[in-house]
Amino acid sequence: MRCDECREKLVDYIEGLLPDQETQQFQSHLRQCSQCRTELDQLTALGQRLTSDAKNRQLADVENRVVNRIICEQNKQLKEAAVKKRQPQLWRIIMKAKITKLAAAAVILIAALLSLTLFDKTAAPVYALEQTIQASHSVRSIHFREYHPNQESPILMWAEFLPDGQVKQFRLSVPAWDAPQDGPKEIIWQDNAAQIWFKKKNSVMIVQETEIKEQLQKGMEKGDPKRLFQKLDELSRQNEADVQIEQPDDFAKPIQITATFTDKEFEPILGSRMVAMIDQATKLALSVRLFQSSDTGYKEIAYIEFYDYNQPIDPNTFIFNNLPPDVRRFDQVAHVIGLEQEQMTDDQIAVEVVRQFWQAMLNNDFAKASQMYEGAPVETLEKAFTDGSKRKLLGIVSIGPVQPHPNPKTGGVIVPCTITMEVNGEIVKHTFDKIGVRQVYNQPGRWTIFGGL
Amino acid sequence: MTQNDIYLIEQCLDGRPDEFRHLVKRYQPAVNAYLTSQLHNPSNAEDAVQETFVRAYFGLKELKKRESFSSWLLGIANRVAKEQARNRLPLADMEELAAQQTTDPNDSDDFQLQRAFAQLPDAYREIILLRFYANQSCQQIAQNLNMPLGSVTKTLSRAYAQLRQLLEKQKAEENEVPQ
Repeated sequence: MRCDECREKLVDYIEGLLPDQETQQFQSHLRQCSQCRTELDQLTALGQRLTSDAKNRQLADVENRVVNRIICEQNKQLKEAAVKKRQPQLWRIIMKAKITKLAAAAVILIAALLSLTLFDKTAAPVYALEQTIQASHSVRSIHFREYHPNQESPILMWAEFLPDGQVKQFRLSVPAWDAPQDGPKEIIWQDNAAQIWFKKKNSVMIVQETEIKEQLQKGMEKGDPKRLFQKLDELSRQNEADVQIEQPDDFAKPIQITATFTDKEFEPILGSRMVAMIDQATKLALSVRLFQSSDTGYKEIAYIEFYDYNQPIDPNTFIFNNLPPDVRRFDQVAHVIGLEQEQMTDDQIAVEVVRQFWQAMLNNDFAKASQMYEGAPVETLEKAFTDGSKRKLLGIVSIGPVQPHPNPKTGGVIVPCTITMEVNGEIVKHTFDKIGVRQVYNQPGRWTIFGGL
Repeated sequence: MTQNDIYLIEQCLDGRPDEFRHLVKRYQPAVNAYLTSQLHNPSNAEDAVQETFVRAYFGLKELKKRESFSSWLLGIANRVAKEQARNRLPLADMEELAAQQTTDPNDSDDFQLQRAFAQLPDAYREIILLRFYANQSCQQIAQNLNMPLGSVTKTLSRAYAQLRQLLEKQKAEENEVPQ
């Protein structure tokens, strides 16, 4: 191979495009010719310089900014389209003009001649569930209110979604009527953990339990319009829901979807009938009414209104910034909770957890006691039997036998126990008969005390 | 252009703007390099990069040959650059110059390369952009630009040669500047 031939093939060689035989000839020439070797090195170096410059051209976060601009622009276009469609008067005036009539006649004639489906294209497109699902893909944030019959205050929710549609974070404000024993609750879901503020109990729990997560996600099926309508579409395709769509000619009026579920399985979440209102312009859901079938017909069980699609949510919504200073924290994320079951039976481990709790208290090992008591605040445990309280823990008298828990929903058992303590200089026995022990939800092999102390 | 790009374009046409982010991520270095070479000012270029992609998204319906997405995209960038240059106030050039003089050159920025790159003829610049900034193989470029593979490598070879000449010329000029 000559030098000029070699130079011509440099790029092909670098790009790995030379056939085997030519590659060998090329390499054998390079071995003999230092000038061509230098040329190759310089070209390779230039390529590397370009590659490294390309890496420096990566703009931070530009893809998110572009997608956000697209979504804003799309929403704007949809709104403009809605306004235009709400002005049919102008169209009527134009159509009344003589010249338009002639032109229209000509168009109709041509269309007939060419067998064009002109009217299919000009008529308002027929609404399909898929449109709401698609429109909901661009929803990044939402606020909803869920009203229940005979309850004045609604459940409030603010949620932000990630680009892939998963929930990024949400805040839920639940009035006392939802669970009177808990009282009013505030919930923030963030970073895969829930912070639950039980206002009546003056405590905040930070949990990462899968069961709570699943419950919250079920709740999201009606709170997240995308999931809700995906589910509805799926049920309709499987003939498990009868879906009726009424699309008014007046573009300003919402589309009404009435879905009646034939399968009882969805009743706990969606009831047995759902009536949704859809905005004709944006195809986003405005509200959803859920009904339960009863002997007397359909009874309303919940009414959800959706607000503020893609309106930025105040970041303070996702922070508890007015917690009382003396609130008790049970942090199950930062601390390991409970005791490993190992070879013990359920009853044995329940007793062992209570025994280790009292033993830790006797040893003043409050961190360990906290671990046995679902992460209860160390300071609270420390104060329980110190000078200030005029009580001193002396010893354990008996633990067990295990009894069933009066509330089976807790999934726990009761471990009665008796301890001795000194109160105002007097030695007394005290029996706790409500101490509940159960498995830590997301760690099936671990058990913890969950109340009754 | 990969199959994946065509799939992503179809998803976008289906009304899923989120899928567009992958295309933005993949092609923004090429669009950014091109716009910086045309507009000189990196902050103007960043706005223009966003504008290019937003226009591309809404223009996807008009893209006849999906394999040619990247060169079509650079065409949009070219129009955006021309518009921005037209709309710029005469004073902006002065401000830009002042800004360039006052900002510390970033170590990671290869200004010599960027200057030389800006002076390349369009055809050469496009091929360099697709090869290095959009990270396409020569075969992909051939498909994208509807060119025989041999012409791609020849053009790339000439682009390299001219880029090297421009870089050497710059170096010589810098050395002439009296100390």
